[in-house]
Amino acid sequence: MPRELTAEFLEENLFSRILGSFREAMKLEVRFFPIRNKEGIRSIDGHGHPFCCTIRSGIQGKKNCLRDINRAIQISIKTGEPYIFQCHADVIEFTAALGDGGNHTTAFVCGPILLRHPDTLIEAHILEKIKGLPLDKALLMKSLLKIPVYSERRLQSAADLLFLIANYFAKIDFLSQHQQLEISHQQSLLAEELFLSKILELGDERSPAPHTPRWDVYKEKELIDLIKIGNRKKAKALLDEILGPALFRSHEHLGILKARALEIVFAIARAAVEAGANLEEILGYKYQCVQNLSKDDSQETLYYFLMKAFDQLFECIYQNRNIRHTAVFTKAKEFIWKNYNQEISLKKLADAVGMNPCYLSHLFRKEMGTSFLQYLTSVRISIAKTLLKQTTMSIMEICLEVGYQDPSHFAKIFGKKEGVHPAEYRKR
Amino acid sequence: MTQGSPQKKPKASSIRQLECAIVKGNTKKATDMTQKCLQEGLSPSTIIAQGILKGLDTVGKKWKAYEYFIPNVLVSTMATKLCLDSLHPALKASGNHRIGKALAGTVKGDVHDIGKNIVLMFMEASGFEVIDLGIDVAPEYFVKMVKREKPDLLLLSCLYTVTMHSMEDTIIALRKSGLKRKVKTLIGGAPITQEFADSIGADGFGMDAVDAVERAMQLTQPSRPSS
Repeated sequence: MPRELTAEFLEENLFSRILGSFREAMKLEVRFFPIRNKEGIRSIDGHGHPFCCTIRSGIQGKKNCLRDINRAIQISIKTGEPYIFQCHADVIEFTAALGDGGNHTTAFVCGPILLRHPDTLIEAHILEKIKGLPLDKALLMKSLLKIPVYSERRLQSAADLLFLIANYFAKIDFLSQHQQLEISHQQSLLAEELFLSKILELGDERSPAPHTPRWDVYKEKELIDLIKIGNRKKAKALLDEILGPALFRSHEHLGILKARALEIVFAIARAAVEAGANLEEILGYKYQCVQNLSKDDSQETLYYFLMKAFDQLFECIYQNRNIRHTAVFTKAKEFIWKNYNQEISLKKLADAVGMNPCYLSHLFRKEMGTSFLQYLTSVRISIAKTLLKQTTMSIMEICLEVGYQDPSHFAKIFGKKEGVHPAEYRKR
Repeated sequence: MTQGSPQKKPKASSIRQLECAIVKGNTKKATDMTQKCLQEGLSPSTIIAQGILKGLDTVGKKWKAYEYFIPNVLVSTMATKLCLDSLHPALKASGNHRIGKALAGTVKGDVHDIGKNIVLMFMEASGFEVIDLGIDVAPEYFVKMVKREKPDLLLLSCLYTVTMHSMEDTIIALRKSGLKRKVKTLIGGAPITQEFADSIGADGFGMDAVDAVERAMQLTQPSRPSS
C-alpha cells in the first residue's frame, strides 16, 4: 500500500484491515497505485485476478489494460467520483483517483466483475473482443468462471463504498477536490449564461464563419464607471458580458487571452482604489492575479480564477463601505432554509439577497465558520435525517426532497457527514 | 366469465418482451426473444427498430432521469450487442448493407461518453459502421482519423458548454485540411442547439439518440424520405 496515503502506523493498520475485509466480503481484487505524472499508471504487473493476469500475459493485452485504466482515472479526476467501465476484454472494472490530479494523486483499480453469469453467447463475445491477443484462450475461459457476478446496484454500491473508504484514509485535501467539482459546476452554470447571451446576440443572424473575438472598449469604460459609483451587481453582469464571448469564441493563443485579462484586472484595480479600496490590499491582489494567471494553462480554469479575482477586488471596495450585513446574512440563511430542495448556487443566493457573492461567502466563513456549500449541505442532511426517522419515504424520495438528484451522490454526502449510509441511519 | 376468477394478462408479444429485456439488461432473454421474433417471421430491421432501439430509447430516458446508472447502461448495451450479433446472419441473408461509416468522439476537454455510447449503439443497430475515438479527442486527431478512415459522418459530442468551442475548433480544422466537404458533421450533447450547429457550420444536430440516427440517415441518404 502506498505510503502517501497515511502517515501513522495505527491508521495504516486499520486501513489494511478494512481493505482486507472489503476484498473478502466483496471477493474483489483491489489495488492502489501512486500516480506521479500526467500519463497515469505506467505499469500494472504483479498480482491480480487470473482472468486479468492471462489478458496481461502479452504486451498488447497489458497495453490495452493500461490504456483503459488511465482513461478511467482521467474521467475520475475530472468528475471527482469513481468510474465504472467495461474494459477491452469485456469485463467490468472501476477505478478512482484520489487527489488533485497533480503530484499527490493515488488511484485504485478494482475488478474484474461481471454483471451477468457467463453463458455461451457472452463467452463468444469476449473471445471475439480479444481475438487479436496471443493468449491461452482455454485458460482464459476457465478463469472467466471465477469472476464474481454482481447486480447493477451492488456494483454501484461497491464502487461508492471503496471510494468513501479510500477518501477517508487518504486524507485528501478536500478543498482541492471540492474546488475541482466547483470549477466543473461553475463552468456549467456560467457557460449556460454565456451561451444564452450568445443566442440573444446572434438573433436571426446566421453566420457559418467564426467571429473574431474582441474586447469592447466602451464596455470596459462602462465597467469602470459602474465600479466607481458602487453598483457591484451591474458591474459583475457587465464583466460576464465582456469576458464570456471572448473566451467562448476565442481562437487566440492562451497567452494573449491572459494578457488581455490582466489589462482588465489592472483597470478594475485602479477603479477600485478610486472608489475607496485600500491601495496596499489592491496591490496584493494584483500580484496574486499575476501569479495565478501565469500558473494557469487552460481556458476553463482561466475563467474561474478570473471571476474569483474580480470578486476579491470588488470585496476590497465594499469592505470599506458601511454595509450592514447582519440583516442580509440572516436573509441568506432564511433563503437556504426555504429553498434547500432546489439547486442553490452561491451566485443565486447572492442575487436573492443583493450581495456580492464573494463577500457573502466571506460572511459565511466569518459568522458560521463554514463555507456556504457546507452550510447548505448541513441543512439538507439535517432535513434528510428527520425524514429518515419520521417518515417511510424511500431513500430516492428523500434524496429528491432535500435537493439532490443522484441517490448515489446523496448517500455519499450523507455517509461523509454522518458516517453511515442513509439506510443504516434509518435502522438505528 | 366466472365471478372471482382472476383475469389473465395477455402475454406480451415477443418484440415487446425483447424491448423489456433490453431495458432490464437481461442478456439471455434478449437473445432468446430475438430468435423468437425471427422465427415468427419478423424482419431483422423490424426487430431492431421496434425491439432493440425502443429498449435503448427507454434506457436513455432512464439515464437522463437518474433512474439508471452506469452499471444499468452497461448491461443494456451488452444485451444489445449480443442481440445484434445473433441477428448478423439474418441481416446478411436479407441483403441489408451498411448504410454508411461514422467516426465519433467526445471533443477535447470533455470526458462524458455515456450519452455518446448510447447514440453509437443506435447507429450500429441502424446499419452504420461505427468507429469510436473515445473522449477528450483533439481536433487534430479527428482530422487524422477522417483522413485515414474516410467516413461518411463525423459525430461530435460534448456535455459542458465550455467545451462546445472544441466542436467549432474541430470543424475549423477540417476546413483547413480541405476535409470539410468530404465528411458530414453531426453534433450533439446537452447544451447543443440547432442555432449553435448552424453558427459553427455543422451539417446537422441530434436532439437525442433517435433524432441523431434520423439526421444521420438524412445526411448520408438525402433521397430517403424523413419520418
